[in-house]
Amino acid sequence: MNGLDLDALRAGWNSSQRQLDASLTLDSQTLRAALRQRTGAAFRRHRKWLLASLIGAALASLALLAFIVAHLDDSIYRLLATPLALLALAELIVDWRQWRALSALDLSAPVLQVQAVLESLRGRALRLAKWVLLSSVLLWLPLILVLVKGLTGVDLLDHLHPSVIYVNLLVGVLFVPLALLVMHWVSSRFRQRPGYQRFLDHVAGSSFGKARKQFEAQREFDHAVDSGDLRLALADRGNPALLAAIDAPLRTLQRRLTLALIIYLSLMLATGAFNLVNGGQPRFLLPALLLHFTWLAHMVLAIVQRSRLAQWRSNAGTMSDLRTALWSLIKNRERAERWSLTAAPILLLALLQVLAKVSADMDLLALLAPPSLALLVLLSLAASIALAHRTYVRSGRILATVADAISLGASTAARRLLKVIGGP
Amino acid sequence: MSTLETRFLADLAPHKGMLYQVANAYCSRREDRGDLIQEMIAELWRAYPRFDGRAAFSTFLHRIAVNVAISFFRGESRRIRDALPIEDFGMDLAAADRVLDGEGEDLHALHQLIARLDEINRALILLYLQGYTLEELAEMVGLTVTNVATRINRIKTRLQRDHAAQENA
Repeated sequence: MNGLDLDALRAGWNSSQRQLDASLTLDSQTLRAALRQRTGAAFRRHRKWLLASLIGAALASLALLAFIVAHLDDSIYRLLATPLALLALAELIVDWRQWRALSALDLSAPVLQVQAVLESLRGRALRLAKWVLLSSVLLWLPLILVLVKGLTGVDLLDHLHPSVIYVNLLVGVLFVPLALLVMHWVSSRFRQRPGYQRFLDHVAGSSFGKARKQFEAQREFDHAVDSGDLRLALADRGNPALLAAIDAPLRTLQRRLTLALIIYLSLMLATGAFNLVNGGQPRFLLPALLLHFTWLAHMVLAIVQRSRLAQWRSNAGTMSDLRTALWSLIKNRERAERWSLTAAPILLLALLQVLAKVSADMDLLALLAPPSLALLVLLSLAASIALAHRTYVRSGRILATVADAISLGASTAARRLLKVIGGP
Repeated sequence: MSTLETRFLADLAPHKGMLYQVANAYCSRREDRGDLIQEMIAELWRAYPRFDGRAAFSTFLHRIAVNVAISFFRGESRRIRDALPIEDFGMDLAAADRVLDGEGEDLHALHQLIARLDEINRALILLYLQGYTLEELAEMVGLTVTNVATRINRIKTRLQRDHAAQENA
């Protein structure tokens, strides 16, 4: 061949393609069977996860029951381990019932029948997740205490100030009605929103959500086949060039969010440990709690935003979905950065107090006379008000840099990505 | 068989070769080609009820096929772990391989050279070889006509250079 003339080769290429068409055949029944097999495979994968969870719950239940039996004469530890054992047993029962129901599920049964089973499974998983969440604040300390006692034999109760127990108990008890109210409000307001339903699917278990989605796709196709409805809009995931262009910036954004998650989680664990040691002293506990909840808010934001981007990737969402997700990510980040900057003077004082205690066992607040302390607090409040104004009007390069540093560069990465896909 | 299924198969029939060509450009191993073809057909099946006929079916098919192939190539789409063997689709890939083996020297070389391009340029040249104009290509991949023309020219130059190097070697 002398040189490669693509235009001349087009005819040969198309002729070869016609021969390929003649040599390849298709069968719709096997196509439909393949789609059904994919749905079955998705449910099989979910059952594997369920089995792992089932084994985990069974081991946890056995371990906790053994712990209770071993501490029958220790009423405090028996009391601490009982709700944990009940929760583990509830998880075991729910997983076992899901396992049995899924094993018996016949995907070729009438659609409404299959849907009813899936809805009931989802409902059970959601109810359990709700109770785990409601009791999480109350039970996290008993979990640590029982774990340490069970694994090492050390009785942390001897080392903790009683106020740590009382504060956690009080916050945990108050959290239950408060969380119930918030859940009720969120559910009544967002029930119809697809995003809320996606979130519930996520809570019910991502592998279950994927399996259910695969079933939905199959049902949608079967329905279209039966009704002959061709009038639905053409789905548009985007185009290859754009998908290639967003790949790197999207990965960068996901990495930044993961980094934010790890850093804020580490900070939260550090302040949590500080609180355990200094729980009896309000002058240390209060600044550390302030920092703790600030880290918690940033960590939750990173988890939610990271999960939304991961969902877009795994669900092969449209560019419009990504644009909406990025726009909301940027707005929420701006809000979080603004609040953090506004509270920065107070947070800085809290941080100094905690760091001085950790590094030099010093009480900075005790070094100041009451009038000086009051003046310092007033100055911090004035600085917060000034910063609130400046961050609201978004002026100043330094403030913008600090704001971006708070989100570990996630805001800049999101804006860059939005620019690539042509956002506002 | 329902009307929609009949129509789907009728629409798909003249393009099976294209699916194979795309799979061939993105996968060197036959079992991977089988997986990719199955993935493309499954995605087409899922999307077909939403095909409203405003654009040509071939454009619809090419767009989905190329998107699936690029995702597959990047490993973004999970491997079909529980896939049916491709022969169960009624597709005999060995017969298709024989067709490619019987092609002339030029086309044979072209397949090899295309497989060395990056995934986007591979998609562009495959669509170009289907006979799409620069304007149609620009619309399909979301680039400007000038950008597509520049890319196609660069690809042509690269293919000619690589081909010359191959021949000299």
